[in-house]
Amino acid sequence: MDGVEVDLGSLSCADVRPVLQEETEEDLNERIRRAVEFLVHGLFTLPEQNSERKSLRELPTATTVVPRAKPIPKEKPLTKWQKFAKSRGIKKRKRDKFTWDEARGEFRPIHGYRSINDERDQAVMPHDPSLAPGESPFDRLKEGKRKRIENNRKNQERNKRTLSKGQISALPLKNEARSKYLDKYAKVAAISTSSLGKHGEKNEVKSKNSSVKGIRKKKIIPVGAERERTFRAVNDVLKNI
Amino acid sequence: MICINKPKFAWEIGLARMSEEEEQRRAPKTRKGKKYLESTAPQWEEPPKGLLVIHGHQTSQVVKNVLGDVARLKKPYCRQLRKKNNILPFEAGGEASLEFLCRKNDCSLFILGNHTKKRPNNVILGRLFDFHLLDMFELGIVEHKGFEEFEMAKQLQSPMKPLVCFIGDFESDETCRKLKNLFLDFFHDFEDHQVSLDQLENVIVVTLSHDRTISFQNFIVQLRKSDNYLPKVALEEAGPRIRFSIRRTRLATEDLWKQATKRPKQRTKKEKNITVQPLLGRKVGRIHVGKQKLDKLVIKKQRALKRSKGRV
Repeated sequence: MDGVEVDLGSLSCADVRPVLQEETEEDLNERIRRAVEFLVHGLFTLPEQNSERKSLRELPTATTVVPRAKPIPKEKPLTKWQKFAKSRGIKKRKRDKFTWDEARGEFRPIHGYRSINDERDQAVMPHDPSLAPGESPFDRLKEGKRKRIENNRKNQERNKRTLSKGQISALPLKNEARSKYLDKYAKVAAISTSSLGKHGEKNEVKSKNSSVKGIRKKKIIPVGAERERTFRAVNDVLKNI
Repeated sequence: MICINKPKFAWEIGLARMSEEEEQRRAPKTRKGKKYLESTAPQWEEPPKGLLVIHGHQTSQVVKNVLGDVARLKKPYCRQLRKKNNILPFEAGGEASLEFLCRKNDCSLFILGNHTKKRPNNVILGRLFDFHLLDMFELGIVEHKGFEEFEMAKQLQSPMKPLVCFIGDFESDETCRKLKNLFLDFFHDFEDHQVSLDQLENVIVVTLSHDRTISFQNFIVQLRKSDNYLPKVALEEAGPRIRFSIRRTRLATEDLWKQATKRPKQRTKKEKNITVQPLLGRKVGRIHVGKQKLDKLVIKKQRALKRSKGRV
């Protein structure tokens, strides 16, 4: 139809012909009706999706781009183990929590408290020749467990740190105008003193000031020199004529 | 040596903004706090933007009515602030408190009404990206007819998915183009990409007239049978009808607009609790049914257990 654009994805239509002064309200209402009818017909011609709900239609992607409310979320960075597993192609698989214990004749957990192979549960242990004289094998087991827990906690904290680092870098909004504004004030603040530079060391100030544009101190020209310079310029011009 | 106006307040050089971000970054201490942060965190597919309705320092009855009507149109995604807020977003630094309020209420659209001698019956429409002001338009109310002046307004149910229709040459200049985009943003949600044909209920019409005034109307859509499968459309006006004149505007800077309109890559959404049976090739879903209240169950009374009149 003439002048009507339809965007089914955003459920909108637009009659782009400009509204003229001589158009009455009836004319406008007819234009609105025609545009809406065009949109509705577009929706009715979309293919059916679901045989159970016949009125449901899948919309195509919208052509009108509307700004988001919040930035696109960043992917969570992989933990060290996840990276390693990916490089080796290790996949997580589901395992049972309980298993049949032949000796006791009941189901027992594979890991943790009351687990099937709990080393701490043993009353007697075979002799280990690597043990120092006087060292208890039970104490050694306990120590090993403590160390493993500590190690694991360290790894957790490291992963947390790297993860939060990724998030922080995602947050600040790039606003160039604002950062320039900040830069300017930072530079001014660096060279500002309460006496407006009267009592400060001038050399030091100068070196810092070199990058600041537009606030350089103007040279004071003596009156006679200025007069001479103007006359010279005028003479130069007149000579050419 | 250097005499330059030093910024008086921290927000003038963007310090307040930084501290707000730092505040957000702080880890939650309670589970409730964690849940809240999760609910307000950025998402891939965004829900419809919330609208924050703010009354300025001084408001006229017309402005109040307009704010109420707009809030009703946007109802489930709308929050109204009941107290006055002296916010002048077009003044230098005036947007800081606006951004703060929007962040606290988790709304990315705002409508602010005020009434002054210089700008009577004033309404400011705008939106934010990442709770930084993106663009805003100051509109003066020329004419207003509320819901109560239309017969059809009673038939208006919750306007969840209105159609949007634009009449007039909006594409000619940047301000109008962005205003059109803003109106679309106000009344449309792109969350689920489907629509039910028997829910096409109302259409919001925005018209740009020859004298650069904008009229805002709302119609009820009535589908009537025709000889083929495409229905005939009839429209009945259901209010509100507002006519605006464009006053001051602030458009988004180019880089901010670019950031805001970035599209995420298409992600395949994993269906929750659904498995495909490999042999039969059909989908099986697992749903959770809450606890049934058996003591409050209404059961049909059994005839056989009832003692009949004749027998003892």
